[in-house]
Amino acid sequence: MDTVLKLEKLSKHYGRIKAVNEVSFAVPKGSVFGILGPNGSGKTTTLGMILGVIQPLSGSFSWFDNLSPQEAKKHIGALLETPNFYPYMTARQNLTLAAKVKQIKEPNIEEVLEQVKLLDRADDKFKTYSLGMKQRLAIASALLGNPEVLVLDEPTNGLDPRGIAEVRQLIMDIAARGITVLMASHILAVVEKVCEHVVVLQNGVLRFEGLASELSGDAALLRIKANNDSQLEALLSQHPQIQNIHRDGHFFDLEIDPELKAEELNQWLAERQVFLNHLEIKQAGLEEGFLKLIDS
Amino acid sequence: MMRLIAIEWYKLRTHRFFWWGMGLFLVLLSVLLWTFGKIPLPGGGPKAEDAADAGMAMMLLPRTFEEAGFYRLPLIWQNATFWASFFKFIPAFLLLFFVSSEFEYRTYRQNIIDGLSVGQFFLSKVFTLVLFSVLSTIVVGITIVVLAYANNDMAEANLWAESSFLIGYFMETFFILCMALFLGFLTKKSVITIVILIMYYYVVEQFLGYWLSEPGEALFDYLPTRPSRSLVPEPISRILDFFGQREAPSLNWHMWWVSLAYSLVFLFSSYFLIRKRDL
Repeated sequence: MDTVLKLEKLSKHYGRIKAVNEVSFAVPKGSVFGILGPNGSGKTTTLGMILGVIQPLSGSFSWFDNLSPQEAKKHIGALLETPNFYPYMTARQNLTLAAKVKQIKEPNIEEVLEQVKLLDRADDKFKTYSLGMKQRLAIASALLGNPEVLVLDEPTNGLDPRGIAEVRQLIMDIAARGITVLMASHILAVVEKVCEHVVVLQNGVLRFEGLASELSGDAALLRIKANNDSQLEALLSQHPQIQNIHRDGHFFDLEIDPELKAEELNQWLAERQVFLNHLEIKQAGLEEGFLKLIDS
Repeated sequence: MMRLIAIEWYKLRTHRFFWWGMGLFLVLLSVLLWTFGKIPLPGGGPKAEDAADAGMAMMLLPRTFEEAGFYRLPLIWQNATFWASFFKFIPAFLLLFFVSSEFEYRTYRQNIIDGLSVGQFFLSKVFTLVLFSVLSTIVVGITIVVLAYANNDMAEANLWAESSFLIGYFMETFFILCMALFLGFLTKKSVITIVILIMYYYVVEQFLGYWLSEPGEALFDYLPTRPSRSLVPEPISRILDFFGQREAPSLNWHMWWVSLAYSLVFLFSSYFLIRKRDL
């Protein structure tokens, strides 16, 4: 499997704070790769280093099997933290300038503006834009020249729910074209829907590397409800195959033995005169896996 | 290199401050030079209406700077470049504004992410610096030539005598722009840096000079801004000495080279400031 990016024990310390500490991972070509972590876990610092704006303390990284950083950047579209543009220029002028910097001969400015739905505001000055529009323009700029790799740091920042859904769809469309997407976010719902590979950073340390499904785990979850909460709770605590009970209002989320079938539990409760009015089988999501890892 | 120039030119030409700055420079320079000739000469001849009461000797005295030869060749070169040198702060402030806004809006960082190297970014700013120096020198040069043709009998006069003061003016502007670039990279702020630049230029260095040495002593003359300021000496006393020889004080090439050296020191320091800095 080809890798587009490889990090080798990359570190960056600010005084005594180890923002990034000996982080190593590899991004496979064509993957949608998520960097997860709470605020301040070192996501942006890591991306800053691989994009050449932060000098690493130690360790190394290489793009496309040791291509020079200048050469590599021609194949990378990146959005780091905030959208940075010239406030006095229009969106079109900003993209024209970005294309000159990126050495794109025939920039697909109209196309990328269309993709982020900014065509009708293309000739307005950047300083008149809302945060969501600025964010979309930054994504448009990253898409200029059809890069092989897209690096996105919190791409849904400042977007409303509709905007988040649109960007998520855009990322999936981009990934479908075979473009590698490296994305950092703390919004798990977005990562869960688009990323196959994930790494988890916490306090600058790599906590997990693997497939998103591995992080989620395969523990089954049942969500149940009955008319009598206390009677149900008392019974559940006696069942040998229930590993964990989490009460959520009138609902009970159960982590159960994979052997235990939902209908068996239902029958067992009915035999003891407790009748369920809600029974739902849930797959443990990324959020559960993530929180379990972070809290451990 | 052409790519860097294209990038930088695009950043400049899309901003109205660039055009306003250029326009302001041209207008202020023209207004100052046109009106300066009309200023009455201290200790000069009487006004026309009082001329009848005055004696013949007084009638021969020039009444205004124009009559004293302000626009005459070759004096015009020194006169115009000396007054124009006060406007060197217009391109200097403009440069500071453009450089510091690259930091303020983090567009410098984006330029690096998009594929410029730190060295290329630095070179593109050097291009702006050279462009501003050359443009303002050309504007001053053209103004002088226009004034010279309007006020001299070109059949007799030699247009290019003493034109080396224009080269002095160029170096004076180039130096202040290099200093402004350095301060801009150092502070990343425009307004505070404009204050620092003016304070240092007109106050701090004067005190420093008197504190470290006496005027006329070598050290005083070699403080950073001194060499560039000595390139075009003040022309008033030369004009007022209208019965004297009016010996041409030629450009001090020694100080010209010293100014260039100081400029290069500021340029290289600017580069080393941003070379290893995290963005």
